[in-house]
Amino acid sequence: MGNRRVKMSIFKKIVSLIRKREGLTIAFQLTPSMFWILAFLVIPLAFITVYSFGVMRAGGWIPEWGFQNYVRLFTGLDGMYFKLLLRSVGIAALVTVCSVAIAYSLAYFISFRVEKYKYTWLILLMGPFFISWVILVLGWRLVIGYSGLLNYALVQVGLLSEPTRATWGNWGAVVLVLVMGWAPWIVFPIFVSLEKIDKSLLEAAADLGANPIKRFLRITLPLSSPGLLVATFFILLPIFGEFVTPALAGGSGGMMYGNLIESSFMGWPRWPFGSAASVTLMILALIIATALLRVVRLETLMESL
Amino acid sequence: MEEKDVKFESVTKKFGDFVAVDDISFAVKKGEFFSLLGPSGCGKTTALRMTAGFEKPTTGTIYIGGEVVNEVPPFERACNLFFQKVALFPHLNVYENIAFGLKMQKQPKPEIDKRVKELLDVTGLPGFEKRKIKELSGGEGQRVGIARALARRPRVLLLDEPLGPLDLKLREEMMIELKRIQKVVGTTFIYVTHDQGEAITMSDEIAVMLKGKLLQVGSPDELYNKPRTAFVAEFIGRSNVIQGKYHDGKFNVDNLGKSIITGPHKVTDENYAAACIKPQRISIGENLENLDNIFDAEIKEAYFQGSEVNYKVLMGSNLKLSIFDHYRGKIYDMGQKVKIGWGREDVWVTDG
Repeated sequence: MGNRRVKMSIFKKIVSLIRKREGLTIAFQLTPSMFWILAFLVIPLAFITVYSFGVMRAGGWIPEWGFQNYVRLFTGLDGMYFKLLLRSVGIAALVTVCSVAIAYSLAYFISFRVEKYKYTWLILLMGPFFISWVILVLGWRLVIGYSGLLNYALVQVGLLSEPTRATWGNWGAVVLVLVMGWAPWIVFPIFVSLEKIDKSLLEAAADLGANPIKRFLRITLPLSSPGLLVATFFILLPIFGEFVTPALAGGSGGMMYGNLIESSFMGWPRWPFGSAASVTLMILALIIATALLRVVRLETLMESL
Repeated sequence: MEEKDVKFESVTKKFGDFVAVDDISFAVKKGEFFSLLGPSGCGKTTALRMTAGFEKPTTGTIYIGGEVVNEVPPFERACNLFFQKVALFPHLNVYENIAFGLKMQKQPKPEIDKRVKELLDVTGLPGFEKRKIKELSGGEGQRVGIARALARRPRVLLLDEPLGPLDLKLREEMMIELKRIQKVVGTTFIYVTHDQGEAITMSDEIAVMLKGKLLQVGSPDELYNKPRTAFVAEFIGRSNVIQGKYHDGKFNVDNLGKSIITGPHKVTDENYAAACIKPQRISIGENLENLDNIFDAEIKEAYFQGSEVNYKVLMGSNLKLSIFDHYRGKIYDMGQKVKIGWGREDVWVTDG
């Protein structure tokens, strides 16, 4: 009994200690997520970073440390790897711009023009997310691929004498599929920021002599910019590392950096090279994220959502 | 002929089957402080929004400065609206908010600077140019809203319950401030409110509306002393309104025993008339001998309010009257039988 009482009092002491020390409480609450981040994010990233400076051959590690992987990434194969990086950035930027434009007009329509059933519209937009991404890409192939519906129709109508390969297996197809897949997804953040705009502000602007175009440019667009930025974040950063879509729809001309990383970790013992590519991509993503956050501060972003 | 800034000619506005504004006509003189007064849902805001151009009248004609404006969009009208929610642009600072309308007119920068400074001086906010909207207090936000609405020198400024969100003290301050600004700039103000106190304090003319209809237009003094309907008497004058029959200086109420003596009045239908008596004109207790009307009554409720005591009394079998009596050191108890009285000139008879 005495032992138990001692145990209880120790327990109570710990509890009261935790209660008194707010910092300790917070640390206590954070433990599970900190563990998760440490085990599955920080440690693997550390490994990758270390790998990226090493050399690996069939049979094991060679104790040679240096920047040789990075040098190869930026100059190797007559700069092909570097060109691939640029192309990935270009594709990601293009996909982002197109998706944001489409998503903005959709969100604008739902927020300003639809009066009833706004949320039904939004739920309908979620349709594509009930399907696996791979199926979605292959679905597009059925529509615009070599033996797809579009080619069939064009040949039947007589516009083409034989099916074209121009619609699939290149970077254009990758952009199209990514835009079609991502645009509905980013309607949500844009819709939220549009919904939050007090419509009387637009009336006030109209009253002060602003025509519809000026109202949009001076009131609606700036006030929905946080949503635009979140949308850009949502889409730009994941697409940098995209490899499924280019693998399925890109052919050799539609390869992205993600495919380089993926192939480096498969088959050949090129882990250090793949690691260097991953680190490069990560740093680039960090730079872009920081630049975007410079435009709008995170607090204003969170406040306005 | 006097210049009219705004004129409504048998204007009706329907939303589906609902008649929001029912055949109203009035005219607002140049430089006047004109109020549209009525309880919520009376159509006053719809009337204002039609003037601003956000709604189109179903039938009838609206003139601004002599021109028919039915089809003119809001951004081309010579009037500006001060919004109920103020609706300052949150992403712009005070200067940019006030300058917004001027920039839309593509005025040169030095002129915009000058006008903004002028307006901030008039509204009592000098040096506020760089402030963010979030940093403004309620009253300051209101002033910026007024400055912004006045920036383009509109012919008419429309105000939709601008003082609604303010607390009592600030509201009283802003009432005086609004009237002062209006006098300084000389712009015609059309002011929508449900608060008769605001309307009486500031207005040159008041139009009282009820259920889409215009009941009476007149100066505060006219509406207060010579209401044309029982509703106006109650709403503006807080009068006791007694329904009954009027004939030749005598007002008869069922179950009262004797007639109320009144002066000569005109009513549309003598069988449906209303006698209006202001609570502060009814005397209570002693020295009633020289009054034309003396009745027995019973004190039902008494509220001490400092300089005044507010009584609710029962006269006859079912007439409840409100009386404001000067406080003279004693308050009648509830249930006490008293005599109450008033002169014939204290009764105003109108349509019931």
